[in-house]
Amino acid sequence: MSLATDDPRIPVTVLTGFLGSGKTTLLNRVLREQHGMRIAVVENEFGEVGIDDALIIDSEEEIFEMNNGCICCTVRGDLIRILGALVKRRDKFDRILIETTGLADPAPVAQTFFVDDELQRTCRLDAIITLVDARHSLVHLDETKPAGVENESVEQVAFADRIILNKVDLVDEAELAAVESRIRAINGPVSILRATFADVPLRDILDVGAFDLDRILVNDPAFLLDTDHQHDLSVSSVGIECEGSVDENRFNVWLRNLLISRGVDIFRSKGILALHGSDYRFIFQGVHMLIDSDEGRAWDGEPRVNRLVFIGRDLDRHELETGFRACLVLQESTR
Amino acid sequence: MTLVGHQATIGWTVDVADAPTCLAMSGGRLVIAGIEGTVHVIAPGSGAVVAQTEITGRLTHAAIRPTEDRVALTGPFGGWLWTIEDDSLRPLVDRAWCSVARWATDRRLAVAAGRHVDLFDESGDLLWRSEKFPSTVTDISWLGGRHRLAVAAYGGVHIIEPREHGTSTFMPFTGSLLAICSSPNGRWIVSGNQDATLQVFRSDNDTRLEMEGYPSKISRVSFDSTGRFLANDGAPEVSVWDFGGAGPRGRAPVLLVTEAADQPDTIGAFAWQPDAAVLAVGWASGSCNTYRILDGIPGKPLRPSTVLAELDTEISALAWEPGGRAIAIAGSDGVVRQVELSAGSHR
Repeated sequence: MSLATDDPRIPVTVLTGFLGSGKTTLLNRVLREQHGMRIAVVENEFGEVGIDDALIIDSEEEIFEMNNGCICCTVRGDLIRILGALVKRRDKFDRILIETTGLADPAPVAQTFFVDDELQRTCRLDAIITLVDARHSLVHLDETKPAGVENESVEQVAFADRIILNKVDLVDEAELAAVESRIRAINGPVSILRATFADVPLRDILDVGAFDLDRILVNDPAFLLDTDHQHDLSVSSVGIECEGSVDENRFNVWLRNLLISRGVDIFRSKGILALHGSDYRFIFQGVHMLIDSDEGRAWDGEPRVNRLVFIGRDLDRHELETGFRACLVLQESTR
Repeated sequence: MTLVGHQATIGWTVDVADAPTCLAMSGGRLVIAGIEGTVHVIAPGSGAVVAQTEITGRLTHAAIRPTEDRVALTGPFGGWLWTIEDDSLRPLVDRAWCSVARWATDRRLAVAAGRHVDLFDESGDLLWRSEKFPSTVTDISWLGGRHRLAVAAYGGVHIIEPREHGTSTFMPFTGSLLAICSSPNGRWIVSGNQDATLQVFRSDNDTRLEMEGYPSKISRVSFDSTGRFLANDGAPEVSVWDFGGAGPRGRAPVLLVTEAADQPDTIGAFAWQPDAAVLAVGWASGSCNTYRILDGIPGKPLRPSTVLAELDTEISALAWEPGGRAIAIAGSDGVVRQVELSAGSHR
């Protein structure tokens, strides 16, 4: 497993955010600042700006179901088309930033990178960044939707690898703490960057390797951070950490069954495992039912600690922990 | 470095300083469309650039009218009609993803215009606009050369008569269609799909076949000039299906591989030699070969019959000259090379 920086594929950052949260401000910074990076920006609803032109096309996002009819395999057809054309002039830019609409469901965007083999060859999903308005976010996050309608603000927080908590100058510290607590209740491991006028360093949101588990575990102490659990929330995260060796076959069966039965509700999953008989880390990460896995760095005498995190709706911590522990060859204590 | 095979010799080379995304040949003219929006017209005999223009934005496709004087250009930001003689560029479609444009034999022009199909006369005047399709139209094909159009959009193939009160037939398929082609007689319609299947439809009855088992999506499909053979990607090798007689049901495809068959390659482009069951294939490795399909055994790999070139660049487009004696090979390095087949090879 190589670090993201050694990966020749183009890193792609997905930028989501609530309406009015500051996405346009951030995009303007990306496009106008002298930051030395060559960034192609795929704009809201499939226009493209940046590099050397500034064009936006009037179209609607095209969300397709794959032929298996599984809702977890919906992809963005427009994205496949745009990125397919864009990579043909990859010598013109170093990275791609995709901005989605204020109410877009991030799942089809992320799943596109798992499903389309051509995109997998040329691009790698680097991170999902969600902009949150510090002043109005609680209203969006607590909004009760009609039965069967998703609260997409919650989903955008749940899918995020980084949250830019913007407009922090408009609220006091107590309000900020409340918003951050609410965010962490949904997505425990997420990194939160406070900002005014979206003034976060671009290096903190671009090429961060959030879908490269080896890298996130090294660089991101927030991974598996224990947080305040609010059990009344339907969307939350569950982290599992324990030492021991994992029986690969048992784990595969458990994870497959889990994602078949609960994949609709599990938005993101990530893990780093110590497989029985292997000297190397086994890493996986997924979006709904789609999973990618790879061999990571060697353990090299470090404690063989398994770490997993699930982010999703109506997660049962006891069920997940019990299920995973049943995959261990040696039962050891949970930290 | 350009190595040319022992049965082929290099003719001319042209550097267009752009990544060629499409080559279109008609009679005495070769059109090179670059991804950055450049368009060059080449005299195939000499390699001389006889005309050029540029589109603001990018290009994905070019189609030259059989009478060689007009070129339809399409890309992510619209469609244009370029008249070479007076160098006039007429916008056809503004701000919509235009995947392709296809000329009919009666000189009408169909353009995939976002979620619509627009039909123009040879001057670029709009004759007809379709209803809105479920997604951006990814490809279109004239059935039998004119009259009816097969349209690929998410959810199936639409066969339409592009005129007021024209009939429309829908052939549903739950999936995303990426490319479509039809046999010259208009009987067979084939789509390549995101879900790594090939869907085969008959335009005159309800027959539908599905070829599955491909490792990746199928984004290139093409019939030879007789309609007997169909080539498609979706795997490290090119599949060629025999549609002769009752069609491909129960048959296996011939699998075209490189000389180094044990080293997987990626398909860059392919093009049928005019009036012959010979396919030229350009690979990402830079190899460009021809394959004599009648030498193939269904279900078995077929090695090249001619090595046209070994380039240091990925091959992005191919176009045969009308007589089939020479081929233009475009590399992603921006250079288009003409390669002439030596006497005794194929023909």
